[in-house]
Amino acid sequence: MPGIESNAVEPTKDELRGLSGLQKAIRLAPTYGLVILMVGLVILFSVLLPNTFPTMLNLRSILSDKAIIALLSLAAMIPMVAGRIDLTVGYGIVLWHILAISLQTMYGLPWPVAVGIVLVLGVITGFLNGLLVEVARIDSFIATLGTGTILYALALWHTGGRQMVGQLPDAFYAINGTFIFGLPITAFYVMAITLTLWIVLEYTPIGRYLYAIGANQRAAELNGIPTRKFVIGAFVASGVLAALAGVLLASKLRIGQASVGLEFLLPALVGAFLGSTTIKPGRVNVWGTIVGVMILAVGISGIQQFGGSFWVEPLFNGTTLLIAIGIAGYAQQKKGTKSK
Amino acid sequence: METDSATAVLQARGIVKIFGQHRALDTVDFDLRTGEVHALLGENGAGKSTLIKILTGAYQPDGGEVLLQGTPVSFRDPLQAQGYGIGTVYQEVNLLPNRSVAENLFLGHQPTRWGLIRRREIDERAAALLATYGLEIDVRAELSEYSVAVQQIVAIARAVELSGKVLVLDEPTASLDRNEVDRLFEVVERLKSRGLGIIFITHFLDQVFRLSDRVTILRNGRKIGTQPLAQVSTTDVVRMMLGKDVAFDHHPTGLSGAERGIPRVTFKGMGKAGRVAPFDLTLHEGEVVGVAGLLGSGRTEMARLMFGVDAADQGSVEINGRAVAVKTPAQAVAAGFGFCPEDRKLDGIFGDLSVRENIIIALQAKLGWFRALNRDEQIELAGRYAEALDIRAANHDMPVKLLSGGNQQKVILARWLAIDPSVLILDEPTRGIDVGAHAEIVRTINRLREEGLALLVISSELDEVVAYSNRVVVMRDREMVAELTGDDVAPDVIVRAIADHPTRQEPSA
Repeated sequence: MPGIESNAVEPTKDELRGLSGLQKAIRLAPTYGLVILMVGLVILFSVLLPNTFPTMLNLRSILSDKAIIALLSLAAMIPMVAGRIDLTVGYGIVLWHILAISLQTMYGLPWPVAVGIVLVLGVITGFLNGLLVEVARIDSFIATLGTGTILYALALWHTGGRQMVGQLPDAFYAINGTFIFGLPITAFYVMAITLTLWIVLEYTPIGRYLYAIGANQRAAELNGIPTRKFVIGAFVASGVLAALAGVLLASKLRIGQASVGLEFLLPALVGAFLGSTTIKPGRVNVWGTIVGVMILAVGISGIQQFGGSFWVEPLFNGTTLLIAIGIAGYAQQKKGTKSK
Repeated sequence: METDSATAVLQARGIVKIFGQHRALDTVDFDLRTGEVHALLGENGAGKSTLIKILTGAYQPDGGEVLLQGTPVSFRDPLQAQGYGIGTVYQEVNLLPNRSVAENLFLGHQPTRWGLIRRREIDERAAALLATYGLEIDVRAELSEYSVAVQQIVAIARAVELSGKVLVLDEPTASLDRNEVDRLFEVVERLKSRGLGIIFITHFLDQVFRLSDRVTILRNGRKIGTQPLAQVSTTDVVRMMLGKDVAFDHHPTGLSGAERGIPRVTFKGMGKAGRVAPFDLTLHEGEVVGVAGLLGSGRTEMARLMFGVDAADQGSVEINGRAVAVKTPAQAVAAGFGFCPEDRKLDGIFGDLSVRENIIIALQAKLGWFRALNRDEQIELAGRYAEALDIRAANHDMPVKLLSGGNQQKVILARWLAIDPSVLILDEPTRGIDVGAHAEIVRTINRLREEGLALLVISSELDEVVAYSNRVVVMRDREMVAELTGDDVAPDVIVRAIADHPTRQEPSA
């Protein structure tokens, strides 16, 4: 019968039953390929660099280094679920981390108020992006490039090219600097947000709606989903997460300057794109995004310990992205032609 | 009958085109003579555009051959076909609106001297060329400054200039008003007398009769026939477009006397300016109302108004005697309506989402975002409706785009049944799907009626409409022109209702 054979990229329990171990592995490879690769890299580096790689110190440094990128990746991922892209995550973080400091040093606001204002501004930015995309019908790439660039300009204007420095309360530093069970607290933030997003996107109607909008907005509309509201909501969620990442960055760096933050944009997008090739291949997803960010973190950390230069990081990011997307696209194409 | 290859400028013999498992064209013959306007008619999905794309080189046939002046040819792409003398003008003008008329005419083959475009020569030649089309305009002005009709004539002039043997006009009049149509037709007559072969695609029957010498009718990828228009009536043409390959006797439906329940929903004076003239319609419990009409008659627009996809600018909706607002699909779903749209791929299916997600989405939208269907409920729902409708999928976690068209259609049907609707609107539910799924969907429509649902079913398949409808309403020119009941629910009566009253008489200009 036509269409009866399974072409699903993601295998089901039904299919796996009765397969031998090797067959199972082959069937599961596309789904967990990136995870397997990550585990492989961890083992490889641990064997080759037994004194520096598999250490608590290295784990801490990876986690605290990459928590911000992980948050930005998740921020970028939410509109992607609804088929949109949000570039403001990378520009926003520049302004947000500056404001988180300058509101305290220049205006003397207590740190919780400063953080609150930054988060509210993140919400407003997301809302504006949502309006531009859904009401003004501007393509999301262009709309968010525009708002992002304006945010960046505001950052330049606000700082006048200077660094924002000053004595900040310890509690503000603690946002980033605390350790729990020996691990940086930022890792726990990421974990909590990841779990929340995972539950929302996989197990609640909100997730069903957003994925439906991303798959076919016209059909979503015809099924009675208030698409406009949900797309705007996705941008708002993205905006607030990016603002949170900005606060963490401020707490970590203790200095605000307009030259910091833009370099996070591409790795954040790479993480989300990589994520779409694993766990639930073919669609952006929460755990995939986290795996994407982690594999980049592990790979770069290992290569740097081998003495790789400073330019290795973007090189590794770019190469991994192209290979992963290439393989995923090829696999899907093969499945697609088989079904015809 | 032998085609006269002496006068045939373009011929297609036994053309086959297959997309996936779907035969878009099944051994279709076609011939175009010099100095004739040959109309190509058929409903959506009949194969018109596929045939045109093969004749103009956009597609390669999977079988059969194309002959140009008796010589077999095979075009790599439309550009090569153009080089051989076949030009095409589409409904949407494919020119550059921000360049001058003259530049548009000579784009890609401008006369140059030392690598520079000779502007004055272009302008002079453009003006002279357009004069032969009875068009005296400033050729240096931007194309977008002129009306669509003028742009269309410029596009025709360009196509004829570049090709010169065959001109394909793909729905050229769709966005023109009456005077503009007249003007375009004058141009076409002129080209015809110059000996061009012209293929004319439209869904306006009156224009076919006004302009064309012969007509070829396609249905479901097959050629139904080619006739000189002088020898056929509008009724004959409609019959060929809509009928099955059976004689059109008077076969009233067995259902017209069947019991029907109380009124479920009433549309009163519902309409939208420019889309559908106001209509009244009541759907009863346990009743199927069929909608017949040609492409562009307003049948789909009517369904979209009913479901709130397009907001009506007048009229009201009453459900069980109570007035309700149906201005958006969300309100329609809340009121218990379901809607299977005509274009499955564009408006219906979430291709990348799983079968299960596709089945539960309307119910989840109806429940709102505070009440989640948990995984077990989703699996149960998907399983229940997949079984009820015999949806053939290896599992319900596979992307729905990998299913066949018929199974996709059943998935959309399942999606609406899952909300336990009281009114179901189906727009061409059986188009483009295989025979087995076709029968399954017809069976489902009958079963749903027996279960007390109120259904509105739009279909181009007259036999089908007659088989499951208690009543049939006929759309023509965006107006509901007839409501057929009792013995009148029969193919011959429907065809007459669609065709008999000619489309609005044109006031003498």
